[in-house]
Amino acid sequence: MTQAEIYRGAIAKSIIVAAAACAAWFVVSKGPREQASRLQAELTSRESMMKDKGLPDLDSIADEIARTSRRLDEVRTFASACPEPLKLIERVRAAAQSHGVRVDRLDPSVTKSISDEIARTYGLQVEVAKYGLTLVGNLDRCVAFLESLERDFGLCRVESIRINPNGVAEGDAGTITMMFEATHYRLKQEGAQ
Amino acid sequence: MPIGRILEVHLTPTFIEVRSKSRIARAPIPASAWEGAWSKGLTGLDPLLARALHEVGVDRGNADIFYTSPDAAAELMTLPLGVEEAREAALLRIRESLSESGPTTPTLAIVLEQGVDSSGKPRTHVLAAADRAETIEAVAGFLRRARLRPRLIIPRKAYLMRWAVEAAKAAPKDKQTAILRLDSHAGVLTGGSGGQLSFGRLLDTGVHMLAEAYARAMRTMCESSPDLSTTLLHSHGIPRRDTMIDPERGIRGEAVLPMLQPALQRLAIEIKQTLRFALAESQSARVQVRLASTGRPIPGLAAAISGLLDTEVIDETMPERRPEAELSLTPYSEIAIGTRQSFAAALRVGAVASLAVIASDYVLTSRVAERLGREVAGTSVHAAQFERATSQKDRLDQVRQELGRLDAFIDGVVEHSASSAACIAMLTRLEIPGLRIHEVLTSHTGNDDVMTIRGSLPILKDGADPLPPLLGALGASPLVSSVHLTSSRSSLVGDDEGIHFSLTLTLRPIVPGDLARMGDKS
Repeated sequence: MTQAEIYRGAIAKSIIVAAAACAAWFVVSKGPREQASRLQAELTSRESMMKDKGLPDLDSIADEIARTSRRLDEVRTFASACPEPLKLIERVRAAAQSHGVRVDRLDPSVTKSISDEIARTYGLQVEVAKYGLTLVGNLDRCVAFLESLERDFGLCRVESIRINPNGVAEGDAGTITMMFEATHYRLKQEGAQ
Repeated sequence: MPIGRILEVHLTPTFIEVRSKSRIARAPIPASAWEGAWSKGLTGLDPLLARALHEVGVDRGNADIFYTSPDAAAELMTLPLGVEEAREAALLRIRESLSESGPTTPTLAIVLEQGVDSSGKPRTHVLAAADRAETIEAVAGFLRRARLRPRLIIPRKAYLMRWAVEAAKAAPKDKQTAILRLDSHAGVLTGGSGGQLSFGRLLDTGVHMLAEAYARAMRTMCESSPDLSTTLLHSHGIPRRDTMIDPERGIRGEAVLPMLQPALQRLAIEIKQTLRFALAESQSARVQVRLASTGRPIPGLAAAISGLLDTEVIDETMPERRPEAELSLTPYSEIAIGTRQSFAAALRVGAVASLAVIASDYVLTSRVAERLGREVAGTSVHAAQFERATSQKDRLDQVRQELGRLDAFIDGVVEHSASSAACIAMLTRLEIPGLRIHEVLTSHTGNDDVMTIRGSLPILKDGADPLPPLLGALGASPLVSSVHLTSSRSSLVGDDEGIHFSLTLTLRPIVPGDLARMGDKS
């Protein structure tokens, strides 16, 4: 064996031992090293959060959630207070009767496009009922009916009103003819189709 | 580099000396044992080496051996050649100086100095040494049988020459100096000036010749031993005639001096011849000889030589040199074994060190991880609080988002519109005498709710315009933001004179909660 062969052999063995040592170091120390690194990052993050924000006031957040949830429930209740379209017509007729006014005309309209527009704009599922109505009766009663419509039927918008005093026929003094168009909005409850 | 302790073993025809770091043991070799030692591969000397090793308390290890053998050749050659040519020539010449030689004959050639002579030609001093391969193997085997691993196998002559050359080169620059050293069985004489080597020659005369003179003188009167004669030589050196050398045996200087004279004469002749051949006559006359010794000097020897040479000779103690690998004739097989063993040992040490480092790293990293784990655990309560807060804030954001959508929707369809019922009720409560509403019309114009009223009013009794009170009352209502008279014309209202008018009211948007408060004002 020549000197060069001896040196080559020694170098090869040295490389193998060095590689084995590196591999052993990598395998043995990998776990603790990664764990230490992860823990250090977590600790730094927590300390940074504590330094930047301080301890959060959970009670105040809970109060705010409760307050906002209550308000949300109220608004939801209000927005979904309108009856379903079929029942709405019955309820409107019943309300007119209870206020002592006569319904001469009630013409529902198609409202699908409005529902779709609301869904696109606000992301809400809303049923819309729109109709034109002609009432005949005492002015005060008609106004009371109108107020009831705006107050008791949830979200309701009176689009236009036309009032004509009658006074044509004898005995009709003080009665009016009120023609208006109204739109009712009913928020569908979550999970409802 | 060899791992472990290194012993020095000195093998001479008269003794084996073992030097460890702290102890020295010497085993004398009987003349009869030395005579046949080489022919038997030095096996006859094994017990002596074992005894010396036992005395220094060593049973194994690495060893450098300085040996004297019958065939070893060493020579300082001054060649008119360049470095490489001089080395090759020196090797060839030293190999040829052996009685038996071949390509595998262990040889060495060390270029000591290279320069030019006075005529400008190259001049190279080369120290060359050689010995028979069998001799070197015998020396190596001699050590191996004693469980010693041969590291350097150095002919004593080569070592002496190297030592003396360096001593001569280190001599004072202002004068020609010759260094004379007498070893146990050989001597060396080198010369130098101005830091440059002038000459170098090995001498046949050694301390053993002087000790032998003592031994001969004693043998005529009593039993003697090499050890005793050497001890007496170092104690009394070159004695005066009346010096009492051994009172017990009654030996005086006058008995020893005749025996010493031939050896001294021979030494003086060798020195004179060397100086004469190596130096010019003028230099030879002025040369200062330094009798160098590395241990105890021989008393009176410098003076005796000085007297014989008629030249100044001074005693000087100089240190030994460390053994050098380039002086070794170690056979290649030993070098290979040694190299492999050294590498293997270094590899083992490296592997163990690596494992230790890996283990340390593992332990340290694990401890750091444990400490961090404890610190993280210490902040867990706060972290949980943050997590709960984050979760709750997410929930709050969801609720707010949904509420925002609903508010925007309601705002868009209802809240920014006027209450038609409230406005018409407001009209019925107006206290304007004779006011008759013929028609009310509400509609949306742009972003506004607009109410158009057509009606009539009778002229007031004082003939005043009845419209201003009506316009004032309408404008004062919180439900109305502006009143605009579109038209008016005089005409009969029933049987009375009056005004027919047309008004446009811009209605104020309201929210349901406001309506109750407005009711009081309207």
